[in-house]
Order: sequence, then structure tokens, then C-alpha cells
Amino acid sequence: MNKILFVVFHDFEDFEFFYNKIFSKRNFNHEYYSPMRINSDFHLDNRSRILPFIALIAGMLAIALALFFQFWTSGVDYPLNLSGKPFFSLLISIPITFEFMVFLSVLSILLFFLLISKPRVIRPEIEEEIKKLISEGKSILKVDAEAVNDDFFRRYLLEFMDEQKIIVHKNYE
Amino acid sequence: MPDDNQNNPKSHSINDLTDIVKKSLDYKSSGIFKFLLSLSIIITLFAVVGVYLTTSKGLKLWGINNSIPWALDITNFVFWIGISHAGSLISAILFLFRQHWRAGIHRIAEAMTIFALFTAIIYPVFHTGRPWLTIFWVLPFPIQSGVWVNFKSPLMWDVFAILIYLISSLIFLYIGLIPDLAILSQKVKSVFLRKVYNFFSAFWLGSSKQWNNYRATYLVIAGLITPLVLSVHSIVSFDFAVSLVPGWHTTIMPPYFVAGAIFSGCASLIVLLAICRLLFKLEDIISVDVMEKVNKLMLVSGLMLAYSYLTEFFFVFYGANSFENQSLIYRMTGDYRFVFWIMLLLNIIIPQLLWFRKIRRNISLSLLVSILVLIGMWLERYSIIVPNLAKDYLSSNQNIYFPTFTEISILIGSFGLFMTLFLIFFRYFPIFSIYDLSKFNIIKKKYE
Repeated sequence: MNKILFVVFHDFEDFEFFYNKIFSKRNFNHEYYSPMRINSDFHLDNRSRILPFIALIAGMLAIALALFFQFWTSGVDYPLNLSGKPFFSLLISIPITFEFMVFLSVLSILLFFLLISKPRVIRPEIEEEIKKLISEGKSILKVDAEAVNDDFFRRYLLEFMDEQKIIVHKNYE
Repeated sequence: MPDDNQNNPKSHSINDLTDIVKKSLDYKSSGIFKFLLSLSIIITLFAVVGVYLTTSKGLKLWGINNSIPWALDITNFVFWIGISHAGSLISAILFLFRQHWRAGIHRIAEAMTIFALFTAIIYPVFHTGRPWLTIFWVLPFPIQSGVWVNFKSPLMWDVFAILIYLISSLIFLYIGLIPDLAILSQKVKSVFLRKVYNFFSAFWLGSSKQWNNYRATYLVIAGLITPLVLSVHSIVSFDFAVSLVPGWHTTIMPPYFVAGAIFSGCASLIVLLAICRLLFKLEDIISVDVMEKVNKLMLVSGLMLAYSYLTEFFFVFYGANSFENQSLIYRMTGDYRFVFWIMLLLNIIIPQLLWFRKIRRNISLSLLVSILVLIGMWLERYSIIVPNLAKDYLSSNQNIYFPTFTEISILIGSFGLFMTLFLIFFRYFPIFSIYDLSKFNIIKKKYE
């Protein structure tokens, strides 16, 4: 079982400072919970790649579906001769195809976002506690307790503890 | 400037901002809120009466005739669709351009988009005469008669564009609300509100993974909504531009309509921001600086609109098409000349006042300018639609239109409906984005 440290920061700016200091130089296994997102260049690897990809796939599918549907309705199922104009034309299909592409992309990215956010009816007690702390403006860093063995991490941790900017909880999983 | 420091917004922490939102939710019991809500509901009753008369007695109660089948209803429809555009501009386009000042006002702008779209939709629905059959016409049409709707028609594109714009804007508003609702679900006293907030944000913990996914989702939706803003009003303009009616059949229509939409949307946003400042005591959040920036946007879009007017007039005279010429001369000198000249005054001359910093930073004066612009933009739509239809190719098709009581009551009531929906929404939901504004304050502090 891994030993986990929960570091609760009273102020987001302190948390952001601490986080950027530590994780720009060290790479401990960690997760944070915060009322705001941290912007940091070294954090770019954590960007979600799956969601934009899903939006792209859904958009391409929507383009194919919309074009086929318009072609089938006006060119195959009920070809209507309107003043000798062609039954189907790519140019005139652009507005509906574009709108449908946006619609399916937006809807799919929302659904997948909700899905990967793990909606649950009943949450573990620890998550309820985290939610409560977040609503009070606090930020929480969940990190492998092994990080304490690192001088760099320990120095900042002790400094922040001395200044009473954080509360440290130990937990065993 | 002596008033600048006084008007600079204070930097609030996330807890301060949560308290401000909580307080704004409590203002529902204040006298001025109750008064405004009651007034909006009373004004909405005008629309109820108009709609009741229309559905019970038919479209004969409207002033439309064979030459002018589209009149006040389509004017109002285009007007409200236009207003909805600034919402997406503020929320999506300014987000993509990293304009952090939008943090305090984008929720109001997004709500404006949605309720303006709701209000706009009532016009085409009731113009059908028998709206209870609308679903029947749209859904089982191919099964009933073997004929598909005409996907080549701009009216059909309109249906797609507006519904998808409404759904996408709703999703965008919801995504923006999630972190705020998660915070407020732990803070508000009302059990009902807690349950509602929890329902919509039950999964949200604010973990790093969730924030990264959230950021990607918000960014992609903002990127998709941005071209949607341009496409929706372009498609609305195709309703006119692809027809052969003189005055409508022109390629300037799409950019002209988009510029006008953003212009009227900014004006409407100024009015709503001024109301929210007063109503929810948000002087620190909706600061004079923010109001000035929206005023600048209004000025720029107003200049784009003025350029579109000049281009339209130039090409009509330069093109030497006698029908187009006659149509424009009729707009300028005919039965509807007052509408045309007042429109030019309100849409081109009045916004030039915004070049003056003192006017941009004066809430009452910018409110006055915005209201005049809104009147001007409504007259613009009227001036495009009615006079051009009144002067057709055939003299037998030339007619005059006067709005009737029923039409005017629906128009007045639509403002009440919009305000009622807007006030009810902000009675229950946070008026600004807590996390966005907190982040903005932190960034601002770093650079100060």
C-alpha cells in the first residue's frame, strides 16, 4: 500500500507557487484538487488529447452523414426538378453540413467530458470532504509520501508549514 | 482622471466572490428585483394577448398583405437573433483571444444569447398561423406525403442554424457553470437550490484531470461556436439575399447582417449590464472599465455597419440596376423615409459619441446611446424588410403596410418575455463566473 500525503493550502496563490516550484523540477506521482486550474508550461503533457480527438471524429462523421442524407433525400428518394437545377450540389449543402458538424461535435465532446469525469450517485466520504474544502477556496495536493524524502520538496513543505500556509494529512491507501 | 481610481474594480479572493454571488442570489427578495420582475411579467402579458388573438382569430389580425407577407414578425425575429450574437462574441471569441476582462460579464452575455434566441423563435412559430401543427409539419413530413423538406432553401438552413446555435450556446453556458455550481452546492442555504446545483455538478471535484478535460472541452466548444456566430446571421441574411426582391438581392447582406448583429448585441449587453449593476450591486465586478470596453466593441461594430451601409448604397447606384435604384430611392424618399433617416441617425451618427472617453465611461450616457442604437437597429430591420417588399416589380403588387395592435402587442411583450426569463435565471444561478474572475484577479495582481 502506498503512503499518500494530502497537503491542504489555504490560499490558491500559495498553492500555485508551491506547485510550479516543485513540479517544474520534480516529477512525483500526484494529483491536485483546486477551485481554479493551474497554468504551467511544464504541465502541458497533461493536456486532454482524447476530447478534441472525439470532437474531430464526431465532426467528420457529421459531415459524412449530413452530405449523404441531403444527397439521398434530394437526389435519390425524392428528386425534385426545381427550374432545371441539379438535384444535388455540394455547394448548396454546405450550410446544413456545417451546422450539423458543429452540433455533433459539441454534443459528443460534452457527453464524453461528462463520461470521463466519472459521474456517480454516491461518492466516497473523502471526495465529499474534498468538495467541501474546494468550496471554501482551499486547494489540495495529493502526492506520494515518498516525495518527503526529497530535500527540495521537504524544504518547501517545511517552509510553508512554518508560515502556516498549509495543513498536511497522512493517509494510507 | 479623478474618477478612474474610484471606478477601478477591487481584487476579490475566491471566497469574497462566492459571497458576492450568494448575496446576489439573495437580492431576489429586494424590492427593486420584485418590481422589475413584476413589470416584466406585466409586459409579457401583452405578448400573451397578441399570441392568443393570433391563434384564435388567425393571421388576418396582422397587417400583412399579399405584397408584404413578412413584416413586423420577421423584423422582430431578425432583431432578437441579432441581439443573441454579442453573447457568443463576448463568451467564445474573447475567450479565444485571451481577453480576461470578459470574466465578470460573460455569464450575462451567454444568458442574453439564450433568452434572445428563445424570444426570437416565437415569431416564425406563430407566423405559421397554426403553431400546434409545427411538429407535424417538420417531423412526419416524408412519411405522410413522400416529400422531404427542401434542404436547398435558406428557410430550412435557418431552422438548422438557429436550433443548433441555441443548443450549442446552452451547452457552452452549462460547461461554464459547472465549477461555480459545485462551489455553490456546498454554500447555499436553500435545500432546493443545493439539489439543483448538485444535480448539474455532482461529478465535479476540481481535480487536475478534470480541469484539463474541462479546459479542452471549453476551448473546443468556444472554437466551434466562433464560426457559428458568423454562420447563423449569414444564414439569416440568406433568407433575403437569395431572393430576387430588389433591395434584398445583394452579396453585402451576410457581413452587413453580422456587423449589425454584433452592434445591436453590444448595445443590448450594455443595457443588461447597467441593470445588473444596479440590481445586484455589482459595481466592483461590472466595473466602468469593463463597460468602456464593451462600448468600444459597440463603436467598432458600429463603424463596420456604417461601412456596410455605404457599400450597399454605392453598389446600388454604381450597378445601375433600375429596380435596385428605385428601391433604394423609395426607401430614402418614399412612404417609409422617416424610418430610413432615423435609422441612419441612430446607427451612424449617435454611436460616434462613443469616441469620447467621458461618454464611454459614463453609465447613464452609454445606456442612453445603447437604447438609441437598439431602436435604430430595430428600424434598420424594418427598413430592409417592409419598404423593399412594398415596392415590387409589378405595380399591382405595390402596397403599404401598417402594424396592427396584435403585432405591436407581441413586439412589446417580447421585451417583457426576454427580461422575465433573464431575471428568473439570475434569481437561481450565479451571475458571474467565480473561478474565471478569481483567476483574472490573480493574473491582474501579478502584473500590477
